[in-house]
Amino acid sequence: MQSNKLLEVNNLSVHFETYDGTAKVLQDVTFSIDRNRWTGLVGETGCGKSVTAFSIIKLLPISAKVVGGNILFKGTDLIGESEKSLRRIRGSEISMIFQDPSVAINPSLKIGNQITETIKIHQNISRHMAKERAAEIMKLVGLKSYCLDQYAHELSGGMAQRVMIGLGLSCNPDLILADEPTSSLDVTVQKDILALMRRLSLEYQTALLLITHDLILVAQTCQEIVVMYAGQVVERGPSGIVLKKSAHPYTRALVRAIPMVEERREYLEELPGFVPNLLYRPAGCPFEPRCTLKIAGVCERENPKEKLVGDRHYVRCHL
Amino acid sequence: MSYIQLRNISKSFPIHGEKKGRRLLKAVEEASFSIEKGKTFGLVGESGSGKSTIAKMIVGLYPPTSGTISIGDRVYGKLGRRDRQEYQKQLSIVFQNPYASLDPKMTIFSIISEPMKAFGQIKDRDVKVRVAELLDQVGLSAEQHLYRYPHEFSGGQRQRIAIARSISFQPGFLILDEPTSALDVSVQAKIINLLTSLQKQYNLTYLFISHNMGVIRHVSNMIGVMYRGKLLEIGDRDTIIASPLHPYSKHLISSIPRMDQQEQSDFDGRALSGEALAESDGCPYAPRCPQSMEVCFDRFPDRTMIAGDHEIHCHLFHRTEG
Amino acid sequence: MPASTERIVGKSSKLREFKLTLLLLWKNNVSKIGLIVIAIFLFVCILGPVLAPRDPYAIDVSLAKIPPGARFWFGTDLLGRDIFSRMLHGAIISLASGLIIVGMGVFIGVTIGLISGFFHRSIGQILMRLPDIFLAFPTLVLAISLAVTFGPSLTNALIAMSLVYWPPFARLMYGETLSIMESDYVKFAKTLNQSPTRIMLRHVLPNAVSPIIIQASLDFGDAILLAAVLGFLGLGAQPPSPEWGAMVAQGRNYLFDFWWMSIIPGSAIFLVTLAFNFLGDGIRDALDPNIRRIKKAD
Repeated sequence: MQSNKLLEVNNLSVHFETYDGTAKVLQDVTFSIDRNRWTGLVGETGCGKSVTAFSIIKLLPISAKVVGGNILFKGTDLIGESEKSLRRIRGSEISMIFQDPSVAINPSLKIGNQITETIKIHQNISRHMAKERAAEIMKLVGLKSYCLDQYAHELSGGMAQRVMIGLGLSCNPDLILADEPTSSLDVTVQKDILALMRRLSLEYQTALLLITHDLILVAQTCQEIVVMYAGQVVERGPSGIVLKKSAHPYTRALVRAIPMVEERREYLEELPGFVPNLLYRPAGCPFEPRCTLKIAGVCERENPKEKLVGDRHYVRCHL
Repeated sequence: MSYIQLRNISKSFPIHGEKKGRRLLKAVEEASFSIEKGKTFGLVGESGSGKSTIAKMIVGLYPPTSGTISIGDRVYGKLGRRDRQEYQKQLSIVFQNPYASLDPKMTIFSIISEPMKAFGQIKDRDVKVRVAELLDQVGLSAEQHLYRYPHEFSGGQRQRIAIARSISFQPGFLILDEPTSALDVSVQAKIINLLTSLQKQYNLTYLFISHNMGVIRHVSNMIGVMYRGKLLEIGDRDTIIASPLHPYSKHLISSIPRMDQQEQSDFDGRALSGEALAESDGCPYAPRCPQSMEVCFDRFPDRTMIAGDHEIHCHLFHRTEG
Repeated sequence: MPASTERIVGKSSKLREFKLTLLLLWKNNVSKIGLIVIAIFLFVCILGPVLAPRDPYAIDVSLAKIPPGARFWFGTDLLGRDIFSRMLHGAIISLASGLIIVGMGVFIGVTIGLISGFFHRSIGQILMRLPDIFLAFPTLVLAISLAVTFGPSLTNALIAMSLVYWPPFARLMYGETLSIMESDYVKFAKTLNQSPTRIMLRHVLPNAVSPIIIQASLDFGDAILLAAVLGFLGLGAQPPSPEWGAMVAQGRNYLFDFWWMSIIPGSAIFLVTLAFNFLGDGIRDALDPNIRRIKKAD
């Protein structure tokens, strides 16, 4: 029977070499993405979520080194793969959507040409057929065909983002990595974009890794959630459970810190302290200095291992 | 008698490079609202709504094309040179991007003390003590930080410095233009709590601009909804959130992601459809409004009072006399 | 509200940043060469006159046209003067010329650019036509024309060259000023009802200075070259001054017979200019934030 797991990240550790020392950006990151499902990768700035995504697609900067673990995509370890086969995978099997469309879309190419180029690189079809496919994609994302003749800067934010989604889907990938795809958009536009992505991913049976700092967005759209802090996965599992019955103090505090439309509190819950400097990793749990529930002696000395606390629900904590 | 009152504030910008003479971009049109002392008015709207332009007009960066702003019982139109000094002392602004709002070449001691010195409020020998006091109030330690530069601080810390700078000369009115939008959630909570406690302590009046309804809900007493330069609906916080009346307000509120709902609605593309009508006298939301009528495209609706302090500009509710 | 003990995020230290810049300059092989040559050049400028074995002005026709050898390291010129000593004395003229040209150019350019940028809706538009006018002429042609008009002397040549050098700085400053004016901290300063002069000097100028310095260091080599060219044409330092360009001119009819009289000072000019260009490129790269952040595996 074909495994349901499309992507498995196991014990991934990544270091960055800087002039100040070695920054241990990812430590022992483990999670998996199922086929046809949306998984949310959440955390605040600096937690390592974007680095994780770039590791999957192997687009890390030169100073980065993978020092441990593997990334299994449909059974094959991506870390060992050659650049040539990775190039084939990128775009046609795994594609990426970025936060800022102006970064992903070539400003000097007309939109139509860019989509056509992308399709031609990955699929061995004629230019004419690629052009037809590009027009199909425009329709799919709800853009009029005249957009094919426009340049990136002539489009609004929402339109450019849809072009990027179109580009990402153009070769029917099995997995899309979406890095903050709607952060720069208005909330009404965001709602429509997400609905669009949801419809398309259902239709094309595409799995999605939604990388964001917006917990509520994940609650609404993803079935699974992975919470990261300081380069580690601190909790993961079905999103409803992780957010409503969080097992990790960080997750709990994060949820309580969000001002929500549905309820009213006098003061928001604060997380004391600050994110640790990744150059100097403490031996114990990285969240320990800020944790209100820590066990004296244990939490600061020993980094907790992951344990199962419920149905597919894992947490990395001593409690 | 409200503390802050805006009457028919408008701002138009000339668009250059147009063939047929100069066209005008009407960034804000005839906006009117008032804020009571010690309260927070939350201004919401999406990009292009004009909310930032209003902030900049109030704080003195753009002169209004027309309209007046009252602070207390003084009414200000276009500011003359003498009025300007008096006006600027009464208000201040905190910007969205903490990485851009502090002069990178100045120490935070200079940054925080600059307003007080500019307004001639303090003697040189008292400055250091006062700056240390202000830093303490926003939760930063003076000994460690006084002579450091902005780039040595995190986003949340920089925003605290910006807040300290803004309250340093004791203005009664603070404009907060998306003060937490660039910050992480955990840091956002601290800044919002800081602003809440400062408001209580000094009875400050806030104009809080944001596109994040959760934050607006938390901080505001009254809420105003803007769309493409026009204020469409104003009411108290609970009414606007729970039962918005204007079609755009409804659309906006319903687009907010909520924790307990799994969003299942299908793509209807409403927010993405249609280019806005370039210039019309009608309601700017008409092209996208599911309940639009012919009159909506012809004439912008006048103000209709619903109840007490709830007002709306919409033909659906417009009652004509006689 | 309790004061939270917040940690300092970035390590302070302008010293550390400076050290990093030096490290990057040294690691870059090209700029390393530049640094070494310039170090030698500076040494010569300062200590040259002291270390020169002979009087650079001493004429002795019986010693004329001697090729480089053990006695006269760089040979002698048409009037029997020791070229080596002359070059040691002349180095500082080139250096000083470069400094004055770039210094004056930056000063004029920054002032005009700053004022134009700040008042870009009014007098800025008029003022910025001045650089346009100057830039309509090729640099060398303009410099020569001005120098000829003013009359041949070192001072006049320096004035002429400064006038040629300021327009790019004005434009650069204008652009920087415009973009800095858009930043939130300048907007905040405006809400304090501060005078324009104060805002210009306190907020805009310090923040615009960086690209100006980079540009000045990139242009320095060319300034030295320009000074030498004018000297070659007889428009700069007048004889018997041992200015390198003038020395090249003196030997120019004898390139095949007594090559050392032109080639040696000419090579020196070339090497120094090249060294400054290498260094300028190196500085620009070293200050590039992307390169500073990422450490490549060596």
